[in-house]
Amino acid sequence: MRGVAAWAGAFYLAALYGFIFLPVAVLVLFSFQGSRLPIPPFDGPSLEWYATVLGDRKLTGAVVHSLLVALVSSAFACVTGFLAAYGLARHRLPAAAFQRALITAPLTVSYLIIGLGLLILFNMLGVGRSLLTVGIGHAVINMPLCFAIIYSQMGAHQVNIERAARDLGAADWQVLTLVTAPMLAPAVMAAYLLSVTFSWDEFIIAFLLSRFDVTLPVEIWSLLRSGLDPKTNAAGSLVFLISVALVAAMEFLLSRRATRR
Amino acid sequence: MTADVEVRCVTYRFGDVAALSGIDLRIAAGRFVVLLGPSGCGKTTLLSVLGGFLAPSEGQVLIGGRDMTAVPPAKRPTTTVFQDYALFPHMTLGANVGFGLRMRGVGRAERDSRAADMLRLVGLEGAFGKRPHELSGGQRQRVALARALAVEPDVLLLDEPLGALDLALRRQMQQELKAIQRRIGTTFIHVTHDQEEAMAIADEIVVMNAGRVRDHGSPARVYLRPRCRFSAAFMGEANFVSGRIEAVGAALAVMTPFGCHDLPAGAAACETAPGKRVDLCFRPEHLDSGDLRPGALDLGSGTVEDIGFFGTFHRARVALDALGGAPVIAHLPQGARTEPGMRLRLGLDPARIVLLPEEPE
Repeated sequence: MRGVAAWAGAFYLAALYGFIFLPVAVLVLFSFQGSRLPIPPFDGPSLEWYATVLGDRKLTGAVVHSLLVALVSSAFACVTGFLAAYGLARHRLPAAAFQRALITAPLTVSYLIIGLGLLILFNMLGVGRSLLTVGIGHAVINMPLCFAIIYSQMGAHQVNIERAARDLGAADWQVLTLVTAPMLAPAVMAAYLLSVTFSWDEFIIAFLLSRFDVTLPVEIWSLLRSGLDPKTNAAGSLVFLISVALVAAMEFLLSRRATRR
Repeated sequence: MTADVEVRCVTYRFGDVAALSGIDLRIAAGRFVVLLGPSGCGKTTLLSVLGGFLAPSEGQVLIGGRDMTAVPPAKRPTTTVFQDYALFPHMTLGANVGFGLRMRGVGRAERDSRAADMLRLVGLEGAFGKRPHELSGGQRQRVALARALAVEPDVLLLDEPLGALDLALRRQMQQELKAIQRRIGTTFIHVTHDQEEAMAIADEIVVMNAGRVRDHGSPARVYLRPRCRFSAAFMGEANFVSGRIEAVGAALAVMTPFGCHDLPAGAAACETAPGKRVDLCFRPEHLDSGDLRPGALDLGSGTVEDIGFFGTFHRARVALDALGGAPVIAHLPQGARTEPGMRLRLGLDPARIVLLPEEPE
């Protein structure tokens, strides 16, 4: 009986992971396809489509745009999220619970709604769609995330450490830059990397708020409109690879912090 | 670097609750003072007021004769050693100890050399490049001490600094704290709830309860001649027996359950007037059993209810006939052979008795 249960469990586990990862595995597999269509039978492996992707000026341009938007908007989201977390964790503010809820609320709103809202707002203000507006959109969705991660790591045990710094003569800005921020560096870095990851493969907001210069997911989408092509698979695989690398880096930072405690 | 501290009529309220009410305290420069009291007595609140972390609702704090009431912690000639050490986890020990000097604009080379000196003072030479997480609790507390002393404060505030250490280490650190304080001469104000620690290190003990100072004096004075019942009971075990002053003269005639006795005039820690009700206070180690010494006050006989061996003495609970069976605690000699149920006659040197103002239990 136990043997049967163990086998059933293993089967269920395999089915579960298959369900989650099979689409990605198929995408990556057919990015190495030899012929022109990413459908079975697989006749690779070939790096031809990766060469095509890396040789495509529009795609490489989109990679640069994506990186630019991700790195800059995440930095902005991280700094504002950190300051908001510091304010709410260290000072007694009126309606603090409500303010906290208000900051994290955008996490529950769909990107489509946020994107549409920003689109309408920018139209009203006469701000043209560009990488800047995409960056603003990504800062809007990632700031609550950065706030939540950093806020969760701001414990009461750090209060005395900040007090000690003040006691030894540090001004407020010195406490913030010399003590609080370095002490929370792992959480801040984790928030930053997660934010970069989300911005890197975000599509809807980037699609709605960009015009001539587009980010990689938007460029891949326009590739898809011209039909299936292993080149799309290769581009998608690259996006996936970079996302995985970022998440792994974040996990490493957080676990290193956990073991040091 | 040292200064005197004066607290004038300081009150601190958390909402409606007064954590400190009307504290008056004068501490001379270079003294090692311990604020002693149970949890919630206001001792840590008082320390925070001295350090500038809390602003008193009323009253003044003067350090070295200057009014510090509205001065923020960074600008005060005080530094604090926190119970949880509060070291900067991302800095080396050298950078931790040098932090205060860095904030004062001292250059790197001088800062590092002074930090190394301070680490040597607390017995951590050679640990300059280590980080706090590599150290044991006792070592962290030494670093916290070095960090607080590196800026040469006039007054060092210690908030239960030894609370998290085990007993043996605590004893050792008590001696070291005392030795360091002697060497540098800075005024130390140390908070603890451990009366043994207070007696071991203090020049002066300030006993606090419910936001007030209840007693203030040398450890021997506070232990042997307490000013109030709370102070007597908090400093160690004490027996209390009700009495009434009958006559005031060269000696005090006091009516006690053991008869009317003359006590030395200095026995009273309260105003004396005929008819005034008082509590007689005496310590368990002042009771003698068996044959009474000449001049001893006879407490009569009683039955041993319970006895325990504490190493240097036996602690006996004796139900005294004269008290209608109410018990007193007596410390009997190490060699005593006493069993529960035995009858025992107790005596007491009248000079050991302190008369305290009567107050409810």
